[in-house]
Parts: sequence; C-alpha cells; structure tokens
Amino acid sequence: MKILVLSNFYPPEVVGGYELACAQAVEALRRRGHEVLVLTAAARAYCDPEPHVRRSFSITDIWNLDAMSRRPSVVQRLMDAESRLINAFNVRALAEAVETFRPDVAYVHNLTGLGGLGLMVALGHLGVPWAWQLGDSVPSYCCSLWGEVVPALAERFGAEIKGTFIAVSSRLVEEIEGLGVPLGGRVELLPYWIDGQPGSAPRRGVRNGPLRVVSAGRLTPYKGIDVLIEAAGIVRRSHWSVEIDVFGAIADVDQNHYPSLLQQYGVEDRVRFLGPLDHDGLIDRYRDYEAFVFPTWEREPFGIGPIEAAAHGGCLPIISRNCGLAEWLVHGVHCLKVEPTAEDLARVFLDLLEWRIDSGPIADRARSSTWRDFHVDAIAPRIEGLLAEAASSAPTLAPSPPDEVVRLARLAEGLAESLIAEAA
Amino acid sequence: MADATRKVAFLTPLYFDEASCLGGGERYATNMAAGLVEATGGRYEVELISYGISPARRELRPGVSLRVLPVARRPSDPLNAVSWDLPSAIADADLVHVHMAFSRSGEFGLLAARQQRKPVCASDHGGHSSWLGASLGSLELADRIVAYSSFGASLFRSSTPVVVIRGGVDADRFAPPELRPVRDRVLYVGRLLAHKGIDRLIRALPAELPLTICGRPYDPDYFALLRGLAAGKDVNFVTDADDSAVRDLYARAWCNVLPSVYVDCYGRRYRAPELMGLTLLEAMSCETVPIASRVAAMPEFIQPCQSGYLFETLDELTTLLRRLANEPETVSRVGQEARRRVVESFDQKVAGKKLALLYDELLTDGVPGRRTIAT
Repeated sequence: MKILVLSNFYPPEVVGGYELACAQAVEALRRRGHEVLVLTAAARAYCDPEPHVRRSFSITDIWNLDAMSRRPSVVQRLMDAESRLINAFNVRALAEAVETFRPDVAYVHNLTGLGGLGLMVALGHLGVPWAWQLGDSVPSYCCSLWGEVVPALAERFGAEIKGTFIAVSSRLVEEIEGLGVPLGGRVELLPYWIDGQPGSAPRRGVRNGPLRVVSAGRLTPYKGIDVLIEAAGIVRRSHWSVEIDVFGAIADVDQNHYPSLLQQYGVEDRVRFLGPLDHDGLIDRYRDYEAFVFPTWEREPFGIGPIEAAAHGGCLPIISRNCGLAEWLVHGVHCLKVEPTAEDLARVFLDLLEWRIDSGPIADRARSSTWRDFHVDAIAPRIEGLLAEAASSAPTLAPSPPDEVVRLARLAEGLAESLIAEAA
Repeated sequence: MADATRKVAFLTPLYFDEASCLGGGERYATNMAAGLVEATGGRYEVELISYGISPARRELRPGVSLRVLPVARRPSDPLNAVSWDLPSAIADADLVHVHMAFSRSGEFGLLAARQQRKPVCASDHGGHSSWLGASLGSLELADRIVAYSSFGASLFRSSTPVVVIRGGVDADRFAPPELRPVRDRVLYVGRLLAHKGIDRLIRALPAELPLTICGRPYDPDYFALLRGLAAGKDVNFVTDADDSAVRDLYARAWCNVLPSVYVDCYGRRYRAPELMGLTLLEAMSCETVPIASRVAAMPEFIQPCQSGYLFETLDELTTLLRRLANEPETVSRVGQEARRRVVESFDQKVAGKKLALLYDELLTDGVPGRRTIAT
C-alpha cells in the first residue's frame, strides 16, 4: 500500500510518546514492504533529510505558555483556532502531498497544532480513506475553541468525519465521546507498542537493599508525581527505603514546587529529579531499577513508559488503575495496579520491600508478554489490516479537485479569523 | 427521485419581516421560494434560513418555511451574522441557495454547503459586507450563480456559469384593484436611502403635482435631507406602510418612480445601485406606470414608451411626470402593458419555474460538482 502518514511532530522532533509511536509504526510498515510518506511539521532544529519524511506542515506553537502569555489576547485566540480548527497552509501541503504521492490510505496520528479539523475534512474531500491512530483525545481538541468543545462542531464531526479510529484504550474512546464528540465509523482498540530487540535479562538488585524505582514522563501533578513523593515519605516513616529517580521535564508548576514537597516529606535523599533524557538514554537506564511507577491520577489514554521499562529493563510495572494501559495488563500477572494515592502506592512499595509480593515473576511475565504482545512488529499486521480495509472502502462521493479543497480551507480560515477578530 | 419532494435551503442573512429587514433583496428570496414551490406543484420545498437573537421556526405558506438560527454573537453589520447551527440546519437540504453571497453569512453558507458536498447556487443582492469571499474567489465554490438581470450577471468575475432569471414579483399579491381609485399622485416606494436618488425625484417634481414617498427611513441624515427638499412642495412621507397600504398607493398613483443613481447626493459611488428594482416590478404588476433612471439593471425590465419610461435628466423626468398626470389614457395603456409583461415574464411563478429547471439540472446530474456539471 501507499500510506500517507500525518503527524504534528516526528523524530528527531519529539514532544511525547505519540510521535515516537508514530515513527515506530512507520518503520514497521516500511519493513512490511509498504511505501510510506510521512507528512509532518517543519522541525525547529536542523534535521537530516529523509526521503520518506516531508516536513512541510506548519505547526502553531501553543505549547510555549510563556510566549503565549506575552501575546495579545486576540493573537492567542487566533493561534488557538489555527491550532485546532483550520490552517489553510497545511491543507495546501496535504493537497499537494495527496496529488503527488497518490496514497491508498492515510494513517493519521496527532494533529494537535496543525488545524486538525480542517485536515480531516480535507482528507474526505480529497477522497483519501483514513485510519486515525488515537493516542490522545485529539478529535475533541479539534472540535474545541479555547479549551471548550463547541457542540455544533462536535455534532458535525460525528456526522461528517467518518472512517476508522484506532484507539489505545476504551477509556480514551469514552473520554472523547463523553466530551460530546461522536466517533463516526469504525472504532478499534489496539494497544500502543514498543520497539527494539530484547537484550539479556537484567540482573536484579540485592533484595535486602532499597527498592529502586523509576518514573519518567511529563513531571506534573496530574501524572502523580506529588503522590509519589508523599508515598516515599510514608515508606521512610515505616523505616524502609525506596529510592525513586524521576526523569522528565517539570511542567505546569513552579520550579520550587517539587523541592518544597521533598522537604515537606523528608525525602530529599530518596527522590531525585534527573531531568529529561532522550528515549534511547532512558531505555538504557531502565536496567538500573526494579520497578517503574506510573501513578497518574487524572486522564491517561495509555502510558507507554511502564511496558517499555518492563521490556528493556525488566522493571515491574506499578500503574494507576485508571490509566489506559491498565486495560491491557492483569494485576498480579503483568503488573501491580494501584489507586493513585500516596497511601496505596506506599502500601505496594512496602509489600515489595517486606516480601509480601515477589516482584520477580510479575516483572518477568511483564517483560516476556511485552515483547510478545506489545512489540510493534506484533501489532503492525493489525494496523496494516485496518489500513487495508480502510483503503478498500469505496468513497461515497467523488473527490473534489485540490484547488477547490484549498479554496474551502482558505475561506474557512478567513472566516474563523474574522469572527475571532470581531469578537475581540 | 423525480417525484420526491426536494428540499432547498435558501440562506439569507436577513428576511423580509419587521423583525429583520424590509428590503427588496429579502422580499426577492421569499418570493422566489414561493414561486419555486408554486411552479412545481410542491415538488420543491424551501426553508429560508436566516438569523436572529432567538431561534424560531414557522411556516410562511405551504411548502415555504422560515428558520431563524441564533447568532453566535451580534455582528456590527447584520449581513455578517453567522450561527454554529448552520451546518446542521442545511444537513437535510438537497440543494443550498446562498443569497447575499458577498456577506459573511453568504461566505459561511458557501463553505458549509460545499463542505457537505451539496449543490450550491449563489445570488448577490447588492449587499457587500465582507470582501473575504471575493478575494478568495468564493463563487468558484458554487455550481451556478443566479442573477436576476444581465446587468447583475455582468458584475460577476467567476468561471462559475451565471444563469439570469429575471423577475420574482408576486403578481397575485400585487394586482390591479378591482375598483381603481382616482389616480392622483406620483409615487416612490422603496427604502429611503441615498443611492435610490429620491432627492432627485423631489427636485424634479413639478410644484403642482403631489408625491408620496413610501418606505422605511434607514438613514436618518438622508431622511432629514429629503424632508428639507420637500418643504414647499406637495410631498408626504409614509414610513410604516404594509403590503396592503403599498398596494393602495400603487392603485392611486399615475406612476412609480425609481430614480436610483450611480453617484448619490453625497458623492458616494455605487457599482450596482439596482440589480433589478423589485418595487418597479410590483408597481408594474399593479398597472402603475414604472419610471426608472437609465441606471444599472432597470432598463432590462422596461420597454420604453410601451411598458414604462426611462429618464436620464431631471428635465426629462419632470416632463414625464407632467405628461402622465395629464394623460390618463397613456397611464392606462402603459400600465396594462406593464402588467402583461410582468405576468408573462417576471411573475414569481415564471421565475420559480426557471429556477426549478436549474435545480433539476443540478440535482439530477448525480455527483454534485461544478466540473462534472459543466462537462
């Protein structure tokens, strides 16, 4: 098949797991003999050109909160709309890619920042069937303005944006539809995946030493980092020792937030913030730990870190009951599931430290099942099947000419701008 | 399919009602909806979709309904009204006809209709409140442009085919009275706006002739100017007439004058002061002699000296007014011919039949799309 992949970021430009998973899937599909063209945003840093990657999208950088806050309110709102709803420049880039590459199907990933709604509408008009890999609540983002879903937009999204949605968890589907955005068409559940090759089984630590735990990701309260620090304090008060290394960039809180929490719970020597590491570096470090803890307490569509750590480092996944990954793992078999509270987390740490739970067999099963069931090469045939079925679905309407699609996009963009400017 | 009722959405930022706007463009859309339904024996249904503060829906007549969508926010120009509800409102329509194409309402309508791959027709009624669509060639998104005069058609710069369907007057509603009262005045009917050139009519009015100026004063300064000019002459203003009162005025008038201008008394220029001149046709339909300035589309509707008169200078107008006031036989003869022309060519049922032919062509062509249809 000729597969056109759409993604806001693409390695080496990486913000999170979405684009890493995208790149892993792309390579797996290429290994399976498909011709893949990735259409993504221009990277901010220099990237070596790759023949199968076209960096011709423009991304609206709304993530730089500091820069955003310095912009006038109307500019912020214009950028918000451009990020979510429509960016005619990107529709033009898509139309050109479709015209030159002539894909059989589009494999859509994260469209945040690209004017995703317009891109999905354009795919329909250009007659390109698609499957949309949902690793986050992107459809609701694309039907929102200023963080609020617009019901009329959501209703039309359900009526008009029809195709195959591949969601990484049922809770993600529930979340999207719970926000009033119907997913019209076929919805399939497939877990996220890992990549690489299994190495030798890591040597476990000395059992009577401290429990060595790692956590990685975006360091923000809703990811459970505060809870983790508090749990370390509870363990310490129980005269046991847990050493927690946390990798990632601090977000959403003041730089003093975590140091003061460490001080409050008396765990400055137990919890270390080691900053962000690149993906390969992180994978190398997993071998140093016995468990990967993922205590997110708000929404989490999946959570790839625990199974990556299980596969590459032999770590026991300790995961929040309400994360998407919890749907794919069995408590006590492949992982330990916890309520995302300090007390529950501390109880699990103590269960491990006091040998009430033997982490070894669970970690081993997690490792082997991850390589077997969650490796991208194991999942790629299913993705391939869904893409093939999408590609074979007959379009209900004849494609519109690309110039008309771009004209529609420019009109939509202009109308959005005029409405926002007038409202300001 | 041929016998199934087809639904057409007429999208218009304003509708003909006290609550919205009493203008020719608004009346035209309502008339064409009625004409389409009547001419096709109910094979077509029309929903006029417009905007207001609160949502509303009501039947205007069998087969024609009005749906008012709540505006997202009140725009500075009412032609720029839009509603998030529009895409849903047109979802069931087989075809969308966008009126006032060069307004934000029209642009949004073109976008929503084309996005839903519906056949789209577009019309311009002269209200230009947004240049976005024109700058982007939005009319290229329409399958057909419907103009109601060759003059109007000549203004479009688009590769989209233009269809001219003249007329759209309700000849049943605007009919000669069974018992005609004495004709005793010159008449103007229309909005009191500077591009209508009413000031010229007052200046040309012979002192001995009475003039009734009937219309809503949308421009207070201009209205004050007209009142000043009328001082010392036999001019009365009627600013709250309904259709019945207007018909009565037509019946009493020798002639109805539409003296529109390209350059108004303030020096402002108008590219298209009259794309048709609906009140001219309504007067003709009532056997009232039409007199129009030789401006824009109006000459297309009047055969000089047979179904009405055209003038260029104020002296010509003055002469015409005196002549008609003193030649009742001419008034009667020309008035009757004017009515005959309306019934034959400009009645809403005639226009509706032509519109139905156009819609039939678009809807039976299978895949909607300009290129397919054109080829």
